[in-house]
Amino acid sequence: MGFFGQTGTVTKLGLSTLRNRIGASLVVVIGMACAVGALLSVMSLATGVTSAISHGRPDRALVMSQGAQFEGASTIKRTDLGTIADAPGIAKATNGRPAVSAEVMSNLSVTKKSDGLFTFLQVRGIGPEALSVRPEIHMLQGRMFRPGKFEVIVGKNTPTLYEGTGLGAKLALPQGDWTVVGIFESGGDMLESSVLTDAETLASAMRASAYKSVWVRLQSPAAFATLRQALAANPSLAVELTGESDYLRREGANITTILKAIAYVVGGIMGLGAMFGALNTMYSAVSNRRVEIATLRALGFRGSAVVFSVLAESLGLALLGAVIGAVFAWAAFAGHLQSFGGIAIRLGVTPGMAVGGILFAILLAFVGGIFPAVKAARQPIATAIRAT
Amino acid sequence: MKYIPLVFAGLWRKPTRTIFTFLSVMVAFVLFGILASIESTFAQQVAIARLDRLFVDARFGGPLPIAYQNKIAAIPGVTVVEPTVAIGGYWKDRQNNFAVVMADERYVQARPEYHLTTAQMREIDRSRTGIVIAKKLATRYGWKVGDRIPMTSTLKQMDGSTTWMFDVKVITDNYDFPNAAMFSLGSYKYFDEARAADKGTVNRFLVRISDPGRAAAVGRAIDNLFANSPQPTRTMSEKANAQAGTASIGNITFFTRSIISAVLFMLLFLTGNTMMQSVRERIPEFAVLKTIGFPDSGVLSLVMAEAVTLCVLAGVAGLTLMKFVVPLLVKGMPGNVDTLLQMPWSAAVTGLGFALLTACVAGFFPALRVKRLNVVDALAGR
Repeated sequence: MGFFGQTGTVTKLGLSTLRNRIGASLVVVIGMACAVGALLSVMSLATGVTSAISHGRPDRALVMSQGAQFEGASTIKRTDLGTIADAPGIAKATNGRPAVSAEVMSNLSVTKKSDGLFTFLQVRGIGPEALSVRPEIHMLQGRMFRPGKFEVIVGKNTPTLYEGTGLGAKLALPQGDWTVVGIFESGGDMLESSVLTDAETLASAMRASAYKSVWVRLQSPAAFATLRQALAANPSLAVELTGESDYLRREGANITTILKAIAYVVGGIMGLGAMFGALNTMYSAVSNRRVEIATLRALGFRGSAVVFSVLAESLGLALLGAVIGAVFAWAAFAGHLQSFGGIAIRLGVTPGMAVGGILFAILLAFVGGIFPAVKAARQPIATAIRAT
Repeated sequence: MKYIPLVFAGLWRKPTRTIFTFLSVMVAFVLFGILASIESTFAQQVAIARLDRLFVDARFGGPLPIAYQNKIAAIPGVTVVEPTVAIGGYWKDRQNNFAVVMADERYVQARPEYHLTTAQMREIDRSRTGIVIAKKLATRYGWKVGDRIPMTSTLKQMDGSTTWMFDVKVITDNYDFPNAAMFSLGSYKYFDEARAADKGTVNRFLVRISDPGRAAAVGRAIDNLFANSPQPTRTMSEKANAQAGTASIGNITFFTRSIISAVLFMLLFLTGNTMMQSVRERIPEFAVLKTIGFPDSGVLSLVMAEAVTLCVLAGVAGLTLMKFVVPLLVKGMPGNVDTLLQMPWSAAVTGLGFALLTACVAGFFPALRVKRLNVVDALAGR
């Protein structure tokens, strides 16, 4: 009988007695399920944030004042808009005008449906060519806002998460009530939990004398450098061009790092606990099976076959637990929509994460199984076979 | 007391098993400590936030005219109105960010927790560039009284420069949150004279009121005052603000409690299994104990004592690690990791309670089995 045949036989024999060790084996399954479940649950939050900020297009960028790290800190003079729009590298809208959108921001305090507490939603005033800068915006219900009227459209997640923001609702924005006239989708990005309106109407209601930023669609991703240089070379402008993806990454980098760190600490510590549990279980398993293992060894089965069979049992139990944990995290959290710091995120458990969690459990089970396995293979056959 | 050696002998019968169980319980309680610390830090922030301090902000963003201060001060029940503007930037490197709140001597009454004196704030005003900084901020960047700190910001001064110079005059602490906050305070007068734009405006008024019970009413009175002005306000108590701020990063209590439940669930199986195995191996021994006169309740207590000893000792080890060793490990980490991981004693007590509870549940069924043991059958190996 070859090595694989031997391993198979020893494993089969082990599994046939597993029923007697069901309590101890459950410790491995439950331990791994808890560790993997906790790891993936926290990770699902990080995935949600990552996916909310990962919608940057390589051919879209924003112009902010020099040194400004985020839109709130930036100011673009109204008189600079023409100069920026005429710069090379910017795509043309279907009507022949440059695809630029000068934007202003305000905020709206809303009540969350989940806990009744308030949070701030971003209200963004967008320019007349905004739809050619953001072609992913499509109306789902109602119609587009009309410039000059106190009208807004809301992202599709807004009414789901916040009180009083549905179609026809009145929002308390500068200078009175603004009516929600439409609901839009935007390819799953952060705008879907925001409010959009006309930039000029909002700016004049806020008495804002300048724009915050100018968003542009580039002729191609390669045109980024052209536009960046052109803007930097113009002495009358003090602005900087930032790619959308870079900008979003900068916004979200901190929070995803923190969430991932929490996931690794929680998952890591629980994994450690589960690993000690696995060590215990496997030590007791080989101790229960010592007569049986010694008998097999006496019959000529190799030590390595014993090692592999014990490992196989440990890994099998861990795999079962990890799958249970992953399925639990997926069922409980995947696709769940949540308001997180004013943006809507959709929690996600990706196949990659699940595989990662399962590999993590397998690694722990390997450590938890290898020492008992080696001990089982090394025990002196003569004494072990007589043990009762 | 005389049975203590017997309890330890029982635990030490299989040292590997006991050690591994001990280690898993220990790491589980380190995790418990971490989660409980995070939860208590946020809960404390809400608990400590005052109802008698209101924040008056611009309803739709942007600056508020400083002239609002007199109108707010005239509202009955308002005792202090303190205009503030925050300026953010970095020192030498973009990573070294900090913010200075520009204020005046009324700040002493607005935030008594900082234990500042009017004389100190007047000195800040007089020296123009002087700042009061939090002890934690001073430690982080190694700043001492007398140091000159240039802040690179995006905010322009009259001369076009965006670098603001500050002189450290006072280092103090927030006595409600020792070693936690990273605040620094400068002179509003100096700042408003020096800045190029938005002169005569503030970001926020800190308002103290005499009766915390009237927080909502005074807040409404302030907002009504400016409702039809070009720059309406939005007033809320510090407490409401803290609640919303904590909730905006998700339901922390739900998060920590779910994970703690998962940890305890795992522990229950782990220790329960250990106790069950240990008891099963020692059935004949317990039979002997009963034969020589141990009562049923005696052997039951013996098993329970083993479970309790194991769990409580491991729990204490884990919580001790969390209380004393983890703070040393995370010292100097970025963000507020070190303040987040300060475990209060109350959490340690709760942790011990959970260790005891785990031991009782996990030890109960094995103990019951021993209690019901039939001596004759057990001795005969049946």
